[in-house]
Amino acid sequence: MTDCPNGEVRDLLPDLLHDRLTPAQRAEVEDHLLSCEDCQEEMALLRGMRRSMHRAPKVAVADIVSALPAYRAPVRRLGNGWRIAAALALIVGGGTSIIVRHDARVLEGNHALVAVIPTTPAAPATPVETQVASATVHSTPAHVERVAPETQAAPRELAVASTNVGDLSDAELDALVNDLGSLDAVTPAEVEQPASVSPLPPTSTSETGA
Amino acid sequence: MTLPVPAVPPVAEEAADLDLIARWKSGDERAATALVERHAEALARFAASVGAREDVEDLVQETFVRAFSSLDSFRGESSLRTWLFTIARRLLLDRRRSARRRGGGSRNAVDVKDSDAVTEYDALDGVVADETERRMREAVARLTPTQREVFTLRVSEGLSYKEIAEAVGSTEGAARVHYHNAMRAIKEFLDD
Repeated sequence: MTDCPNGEVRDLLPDLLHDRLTPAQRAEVEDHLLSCEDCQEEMALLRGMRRSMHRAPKVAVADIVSALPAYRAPVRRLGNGWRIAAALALIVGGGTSIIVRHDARVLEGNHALVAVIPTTPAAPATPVETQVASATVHSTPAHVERVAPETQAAPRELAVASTNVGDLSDAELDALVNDLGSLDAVTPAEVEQPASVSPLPPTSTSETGA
Repeated sequence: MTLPVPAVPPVAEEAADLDLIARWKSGDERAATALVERHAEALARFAASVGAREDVEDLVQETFVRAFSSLDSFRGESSLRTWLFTIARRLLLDRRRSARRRGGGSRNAVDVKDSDAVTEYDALDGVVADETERRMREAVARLTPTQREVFTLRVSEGLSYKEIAEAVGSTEGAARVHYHNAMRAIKEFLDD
């Protein structure tokens, strides 16, 4: 038994045996077989080999099926879910912090009024809070800032700000004006540096030099 | 002659398998029976031809149990039958390793003695094959384990070289070489 020199066709003989060729391939291989004794012999051998190898032990399908597990849909792993939740919390928390800080800066930039309350001599030796109030002076503070302990001896200052005075009602304006009666005004820049705030305007160079 | 090498995959067969898998996942127990009926015989042939011997049925059953336990990992990139062959082959290798560790198996359990295959098949089927078929089985039994594996998948099961490479963890080129070496060895044996 010799081998046909046409390796391409020999390669496809098992596919012809199992009917796995395209119609064009099948026609080409069958044409070749008509004129090639080597391939005819090999094809006959393949048919015999397949037949002999198909003598397989019988298996009991019912026994196999009864041993099969019931289907269980895959469970999603919690580990990844927690990671995603943690990442989302970080993003949301961080984003909120940035927005709040941004809003606070905008609020400071829109100060309509900034006032300082004279120091109370018997102020307690605890950190003093500088408050930047919202438009309604007596409402909940929008921003609270801690002042360093070394400023405790400095005059107690209360800066009051409004986003826009034009937005205040008459009653709110009256209340604000009344409050302002006992207050001295300072600039927003001075409020941001409480230790250096002075109730008096800075003296000019010419005055100090005089 | 210019023949495209890849053969036509049995698309309809694969689609039918995928449909049965989907039905089984949705609770249709009959789909499991159908899947086993479609592939059990081929698995048994493969197991017997590569030397599973007396535990063919047990190996086939365990193959299906493993396959059904992890059907969600079957992506359909290869045919279901190729995937089953892969599982059966791994199981067979594991069993041989275990047998070697216990000292109960030979160093190369796949190697078959001269008349081993004949006895095996006759005992299994209870049928005395004719002389030609007996000689053919003997020729296959004399192949190296890898040649026998590749030859069985190619000739008995009709897998392409690509599918064989997936099943045995090799390359298409290597599968082709093993097939042609096996065919040459079989011809030489039959010509003697």
